Amino acid sequence: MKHVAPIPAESQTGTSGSGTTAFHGAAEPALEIRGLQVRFPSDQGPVSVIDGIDLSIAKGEILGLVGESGCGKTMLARSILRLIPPPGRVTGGKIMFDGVDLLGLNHERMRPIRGDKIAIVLQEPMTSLNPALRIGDQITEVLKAHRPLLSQAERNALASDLLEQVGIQMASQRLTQYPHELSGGIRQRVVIAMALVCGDVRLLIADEPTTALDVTIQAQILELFTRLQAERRMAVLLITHDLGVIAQTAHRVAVMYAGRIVEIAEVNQLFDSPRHPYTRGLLLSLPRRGVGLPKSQLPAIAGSVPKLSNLPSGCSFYDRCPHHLEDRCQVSVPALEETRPGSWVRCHRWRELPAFELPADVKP
Amino acid sequence: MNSFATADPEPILEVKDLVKHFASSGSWSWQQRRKTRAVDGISFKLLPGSTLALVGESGCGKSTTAKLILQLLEPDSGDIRLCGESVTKPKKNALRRLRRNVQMVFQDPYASLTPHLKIGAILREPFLVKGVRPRYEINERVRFVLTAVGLDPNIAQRFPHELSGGQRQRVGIARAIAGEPRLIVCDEPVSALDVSIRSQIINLLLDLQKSCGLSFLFISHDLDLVAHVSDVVAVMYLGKIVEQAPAATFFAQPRHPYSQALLASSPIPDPRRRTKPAIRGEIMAGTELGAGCRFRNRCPLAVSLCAAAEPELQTITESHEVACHRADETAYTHEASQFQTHANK
Repeated sequence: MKHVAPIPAESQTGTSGSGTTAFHGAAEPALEIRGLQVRFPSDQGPVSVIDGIDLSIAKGEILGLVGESGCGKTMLARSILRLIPPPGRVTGGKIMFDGVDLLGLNHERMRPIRGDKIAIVLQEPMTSLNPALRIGDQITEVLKAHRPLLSQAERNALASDLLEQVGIQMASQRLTQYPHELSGGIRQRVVIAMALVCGDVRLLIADEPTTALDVTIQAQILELFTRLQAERRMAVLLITHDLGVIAQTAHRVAVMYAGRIVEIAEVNQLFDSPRHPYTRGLLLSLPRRGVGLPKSQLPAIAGSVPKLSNLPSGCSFYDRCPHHLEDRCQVSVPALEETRPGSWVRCHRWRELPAFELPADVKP
Repeated sequence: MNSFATADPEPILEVKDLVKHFASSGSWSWQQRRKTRAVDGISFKLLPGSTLALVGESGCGKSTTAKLILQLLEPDSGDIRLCGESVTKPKKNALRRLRRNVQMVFQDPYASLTPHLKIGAILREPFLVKGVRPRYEINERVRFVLTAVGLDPNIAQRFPHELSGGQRQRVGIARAIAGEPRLIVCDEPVSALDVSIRSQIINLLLDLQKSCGLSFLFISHDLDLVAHVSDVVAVMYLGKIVEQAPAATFFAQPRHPYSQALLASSPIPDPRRRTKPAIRGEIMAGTELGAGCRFRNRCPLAVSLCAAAEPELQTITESHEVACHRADETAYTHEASQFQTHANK
């Protein structure tokens, strides 16, 4: 019977620093990632899936992480929980949580953190629930692992309480149902309940939590997320490719491209004046109701996402960037530079780029 | 383009009172037999060169409709007319000829290309079916369609797994246009693609529509995308069309409470304009449908009449049809929902 040793929650900003100390000013970081590197071996030598990521999430903050499939979003989430599938390996960096480096912990010491302090909600609610177990058993299983002193009755009470909190009616009856008896929206609510049942979650990782849901249900789930997050002052890492979801939910946004973070900014800042050509391209290419002529050509980003095993030298967005310069952008990887307090961009030319403007009628 | 105007050219596709029910029996013989009313009496017309968008949530019957049109499923009743000829009761050998007029672009470009065939072989097939001979002529045409969708013709030598998602979807589109159809059914053609690739594929589809005069039946749940590509919008809910209107009218003044809810809850990519969940609850189970409106359990405007009688699709203004008992009052509610998405600063 092991109990979680209380980890001293002292400030951890004092770590020996490169230029990125006190990184983009998250006042009280719940999680701080420094120089994270994840590699997978391949026939052509190791491939960097995550190549030097610095990121911090403040307490009580929703950090949106945007990027395309294969850019490393999910690997980042998995590396926080130390769940990188072999043969992948974390080859460098630190992930500071509650004053300890998660990467330095062995599996024995990682277990009390997973599910109790750091929880995850995955995309497809049907695959993250066990079809053969009643949902009550699945929720209380988390408590069995992390709160072994509770009696079964107490666990059930906690579970049904929580189901009510996530907006499920007749909670005590729901506990005896199987996942297939529930609709997609309710299943996702159950998964969220499972993630939060320990009551002490400091960081919730949500990996595309609404992608498999319909729009009207998605809106309900996102509302639930923001409500729970505010009530519990949790830090949330919200991973999605949907810029609409990001705009509606996140406080701060990090944009990933090919294993690196290319831009970080507060949400209004990012949508009003994005700095990186990739972010700009994404925002411009979205069809928007009432903007531009129907059936007109959308301003698309040319080319396709580069393979991680075959990245261009220098800036990984080089091939697709309308602003690239042969002598600079192809030569060296740009550093993440601070453009204004709290906004960072990885582009050689951010100072020279014209101001960003959406087509005129987008602003009301 | 207004597909409801009186001096219509002949529609390329006309669907009338189409019905398809699936029997979902329990696994044991004593269990009650139930019916899923996947498509339950829908009608629409699609004019040459225009795009009709079918919008709705999963399970509303969009994809079943597509399969019925492609004759991959047989309807229980109702009629589908392609280029003026019925495909539901085809004359001998007519089906093959009629089918040539319609092709499909699938959602998942990873699942819709045969993995062990080279791209060239995949694209030769429609020409072989069409009876194009000899082989060099076919190869010439394969090169032509590949160029038409913006790919290097040498890609014919490659296998699907060597291509990116966007390239694969271009191959899927090349295969669809190879038979020179007049109608293409696009079932969520970009939702499996990366965000930065989507606009390229949309641009390609719009280009092809312009240059070849294609008609699209465009199935999607992305309303912003639908607003951009379609001429007419039809909203489906549990097997019925609940609203149908020209795109401009629909997006300016949706009248069905469900359409309004869809528009209000789709997230706007602008943090200064907030969307809110507009309706509670979820789609009604098939067994609870009863006699009334299928949306009544989630509808903010539901009254006792809505549980008693199912509203019929009625014309409220020219070419704008809505199936709602309270359609007279919904114009105001829409104004209200506009206020909900106010600037939050």
